Amino acid sequence: MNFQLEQSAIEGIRALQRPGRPDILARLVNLYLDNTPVLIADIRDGVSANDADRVKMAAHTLKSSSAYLGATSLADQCDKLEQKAANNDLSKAGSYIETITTGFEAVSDQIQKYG
Amino acid sequence: MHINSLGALPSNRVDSPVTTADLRINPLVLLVDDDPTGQLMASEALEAEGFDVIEAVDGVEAVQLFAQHKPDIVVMDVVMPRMDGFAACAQIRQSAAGKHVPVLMVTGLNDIDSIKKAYEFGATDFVTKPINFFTLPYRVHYMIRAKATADELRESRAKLDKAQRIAKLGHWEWQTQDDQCLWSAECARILNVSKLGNTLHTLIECIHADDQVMVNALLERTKIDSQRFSTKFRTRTDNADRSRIIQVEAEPDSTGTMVGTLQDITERANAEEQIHNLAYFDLVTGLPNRANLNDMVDNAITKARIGNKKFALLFLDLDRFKQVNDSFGHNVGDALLRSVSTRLGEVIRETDCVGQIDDSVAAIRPPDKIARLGGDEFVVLLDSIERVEDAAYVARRICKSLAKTFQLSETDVHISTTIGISIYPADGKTPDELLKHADVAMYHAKEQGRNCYHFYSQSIHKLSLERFALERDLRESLESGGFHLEYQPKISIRTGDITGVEALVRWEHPTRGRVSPADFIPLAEETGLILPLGEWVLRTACQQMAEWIECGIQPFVMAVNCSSIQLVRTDMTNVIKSALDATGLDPTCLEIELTESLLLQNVEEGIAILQALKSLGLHVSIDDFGTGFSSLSYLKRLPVDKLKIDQSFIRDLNTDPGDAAIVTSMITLAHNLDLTVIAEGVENTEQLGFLRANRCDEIQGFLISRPQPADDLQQWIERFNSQLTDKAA
Repeated sequence: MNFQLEQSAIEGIRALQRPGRPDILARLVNLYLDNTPVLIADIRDGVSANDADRVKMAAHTLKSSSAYLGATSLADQCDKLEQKAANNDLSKAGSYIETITTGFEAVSDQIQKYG
Repeated sequence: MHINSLGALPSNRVDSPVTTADLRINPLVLLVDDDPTGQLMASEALEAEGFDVIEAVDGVEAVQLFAQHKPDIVVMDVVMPRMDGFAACAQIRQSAAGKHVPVLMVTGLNDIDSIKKAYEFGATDFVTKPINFFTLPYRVHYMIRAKATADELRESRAKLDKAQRIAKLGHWEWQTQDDQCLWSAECARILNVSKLGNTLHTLIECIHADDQVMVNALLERTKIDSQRFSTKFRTRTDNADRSRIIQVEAEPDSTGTMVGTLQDITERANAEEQIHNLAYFDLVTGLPNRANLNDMVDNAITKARIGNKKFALLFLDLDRFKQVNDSFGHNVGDALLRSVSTRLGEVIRETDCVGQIDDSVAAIRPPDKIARLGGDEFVVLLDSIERVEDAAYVARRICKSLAKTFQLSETDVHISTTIGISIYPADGKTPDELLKHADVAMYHAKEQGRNCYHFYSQSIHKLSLERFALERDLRESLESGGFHLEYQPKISIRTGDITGVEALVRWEHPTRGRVSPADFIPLAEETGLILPLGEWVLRTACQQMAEWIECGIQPFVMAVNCSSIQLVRTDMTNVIKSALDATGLDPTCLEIELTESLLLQNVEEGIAILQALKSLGLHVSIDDFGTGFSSLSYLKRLPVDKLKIDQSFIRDLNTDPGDAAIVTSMITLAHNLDLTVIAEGVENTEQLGFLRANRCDEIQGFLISRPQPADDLQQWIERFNSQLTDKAA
């Protein structure tokens, strides 16, 4: 699976940069890098505990932040997991977790330089 | 996070309730999202455009921060842990500050269910993910501005509502084409109903029954012409005291819709009435005061001038009022004045119909007739009197009534009253003149001491005294049996037999002597005394006739005259029937003589009356025929038996060829109509000769006999019949 970052999203974030303020892209990237492992752990714990709600919520948040950074494929995977969890279906959650983990690593590689 | 902190409040603003919202320079946005990435971008974007931002990560924190900071707008994600955006929105809406705050919900793209749900939970608007952070600040700006406009509108509406409530004024709109109405909240309160409908009928239903027709007519007209209108009505209510007075006005706007107001003007109207009462009524008695009297007299003058009528002003002065005031104090004096006004009212009501033949005139008279000028002076206005004696009559009744003991709470009081009377138009043409002259007449009456009233004009005064005395004597004689009947025989020219007698009323007064019927019958008719008198004549005549028949006299017809007043004001058919029943007289022995003029007044009614009389089986004749200019076409429709040619045609029968021609024609006419014809006032044989030659049926007059008392006539009849027998033999 290709977890290529969309550059337009990065440009869009940079456009929000105001003079004299901390680098917004850096803050976002750092936030994302800090928070995402926590969310993935949350998803994993949720699956182990068979807590579909917890899975759904974490997937939703990760979907949203991934989308903002232009990690569209990763966001899509999160969306699918969110939908399943919303339907109380955690049957293939393990495989999603694998894909999402892989995706996050790919995205991390690409955004690390902004952090 | 950048929240303004302005430190200590300036002291002059401590008193007024100041919210954090009032003190902010930049608008404050509450951003609610569990995704820190989105939060960061949104707050950067908003702060770049001059917003202050506070952030919450879920619904629980959002509700808490909202209560704490009262932000100007909430931008909130839907899906969040602990409490989602819907629930948080609903909770914020329930707080006072959150009722109208704009809430922008962030929903998934194309998540129609969430969008729908967001509105149900009170969201103002929605934006889909991913958020366009460049346009977000403009969106937020716009929503804050819209909210400010809505706030202003709400505030303005609240002010308007409050102002309307204070003014008791509502506004309304009416589309006349499809009869659709809109009412402001105050309208329902003014009309005292919980809710008003959307057609005009709802307004009509609130209106007092007596005013409905008037308002309805106005609104119907407005439907057609859409013109400005203004009117007042009373509200419908079970309790008349609680009825409110409402002023309603409307004018068309540019589209033809009527826009208007409703205002409760009860207090104003009551105040105006109170002011009017203070200005126009006497505080002690509640009677109209001098200013009011002027208007009353002015109106009476206008009315009398148009109707060519007269009216009287009675100026009253209580003779010993000052003594009462001095001896017993003002409380007793005031109580006396009130009692006097009550008694005056009673007298006026009792004597209201005096001189009035037509009761309907009495029924439409205005009630205000008594005024107090101040002190012990009262004025009574008697409008539409027929005769000046009516004024004298009322004056005497007033004196009599006020002469009775006044039982006041502290003491019994006796007073007497002096009255001066002026008559319009004889004694003056203006209120001032009439009042002044009534006052003068009152002083005149005081000088004369014992007389309780006096007319301003001497001749009227004298005339009224005379007529009044005559009327009084007439009444007394009626009660004491001072009348008797005389009978004048009628003879058949052809056979010489007695065909009947006419009963004629005679008045022999102890001091006046014999009074001519020509003098007292008109007065009896004016005063209504003709009713008892006429009934007495009828009964006496029937009784006499029954007695004669009892004595064995050859039956003939007893003729009794009937006045128009009797026919109009009593059920004559019943009166006659009861006289016949009481005396046992055969109706064929009774004839009623009616004057021609009476029948001419109302032809159809005349015919009906005649038919009713005829149905009793008696005879009906027309008296004074020829004097009333009867139309021949209707004469033939009258169910009568006999015509009596008036004596004015008989008097000069032998010298005036005109009269002779008329009499001849009348006889022929009567015969052609199959009626008997009789000539009255026949005094000599020449007249008899003419009448015989022209085939007149009967005669009556001095040639045969004067009217005679019953006993004399009975003897006369016996003599006459025996002569007749002798002749025949």
